[in-house]
Amino acid sequence: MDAGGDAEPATEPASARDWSELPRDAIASVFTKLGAVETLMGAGLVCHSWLDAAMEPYLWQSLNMAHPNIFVVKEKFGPNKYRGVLRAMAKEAVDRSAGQLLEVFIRQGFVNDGFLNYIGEKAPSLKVLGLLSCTWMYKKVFVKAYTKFPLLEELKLSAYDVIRAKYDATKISSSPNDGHFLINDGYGHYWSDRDDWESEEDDFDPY
Amino acid sequence: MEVDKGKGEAEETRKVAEADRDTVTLKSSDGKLFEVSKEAAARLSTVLAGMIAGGSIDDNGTDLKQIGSEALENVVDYCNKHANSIPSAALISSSISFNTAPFKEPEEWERKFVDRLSHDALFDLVEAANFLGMERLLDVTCHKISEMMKGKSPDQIREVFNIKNDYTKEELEEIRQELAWAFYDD
Repeated sequence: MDAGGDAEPATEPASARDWSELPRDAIASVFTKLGAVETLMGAGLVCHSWLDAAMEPYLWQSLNMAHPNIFVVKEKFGPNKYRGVLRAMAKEAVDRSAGQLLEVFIRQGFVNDGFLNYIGEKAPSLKVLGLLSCTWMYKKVFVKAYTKFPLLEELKLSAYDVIRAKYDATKISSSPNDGHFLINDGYGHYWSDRDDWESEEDDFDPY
Repeated sequence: MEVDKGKGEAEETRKVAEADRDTVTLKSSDGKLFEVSKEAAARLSTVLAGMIAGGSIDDNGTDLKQIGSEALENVVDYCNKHANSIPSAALISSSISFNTAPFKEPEEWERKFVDRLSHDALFDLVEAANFLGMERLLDVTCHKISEMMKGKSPDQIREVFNIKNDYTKEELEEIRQELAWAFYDD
């Protein structure tokens, strides 16, 4: 197939097509269906052309790091390492969006204060922020929202956080920008708040 | 494509009759002809819709030089099946419930349609769908490809699709430095 024609073993290949030459729109579509984590640690690393396609900023405008499929990271890297790996992945995803990140969904278990600040710096046009089971964190988000996420339109929380958050928001109402974003239940019935992520309070270790 | 019946019919009426046909004929790169529902072709392919609207459909077979007969047969098959299927209620994938443009999960028949394809046929169909601007077919085929990759490491994916690892040692090292999780157990 390539110049030189090095003698390949006679084993029948699974495919005679060169899949690294898949149309760019097609591989991008595959990536969006696989999601951020699988793209970052699997398909997006396969070859030069796929890695290159996985760098496309528009792919990263919507980042979902709250989906159950992030559990594979825990399986693969073990209980001591996986939080750091998830944070590093989320950071890389935010970088790839090149400032175009519009919505991000993250969850208790790996998100920390430093990561929220990172999003604030790198994603000035963020519109939707989803926090799953981050009860301990949403107050910090209120404070940050006014300065770090000026364009935030919606804060999506776990169902049981919403009422409390709405109440708390009324108490932090001194800001003139108060009420510039909505607080909604963003996880609905797809999301179990009581899954097998051990609960944790603040987690401040660096990436 | 029937025997000439209206012998002395005026050119005008012939043209009207052609325009009224509810199928179009497509010709593959290797010269095979396929009939496809005009309505479905126009609805599912932006390129075919443009050709139909622009009158560049050839009754003796519109040339699609980029598409081989096997892939074109699948395209036509897909269009004709689509023309006959009643879309079911929206099955929105839970995996992307947040996305701004939710992808509608493949219907049962669409699943079966792509499941029977060999790797090569799937690849050719993706290329054809991409070339013809068939968003839905591209979605369905890419969904299939994503399922073939799910939970797999780069090495395992290379094996499934017979892709060469085209990184040099230095490049691999560079990636490993930048992306700490990459090639963790390769």
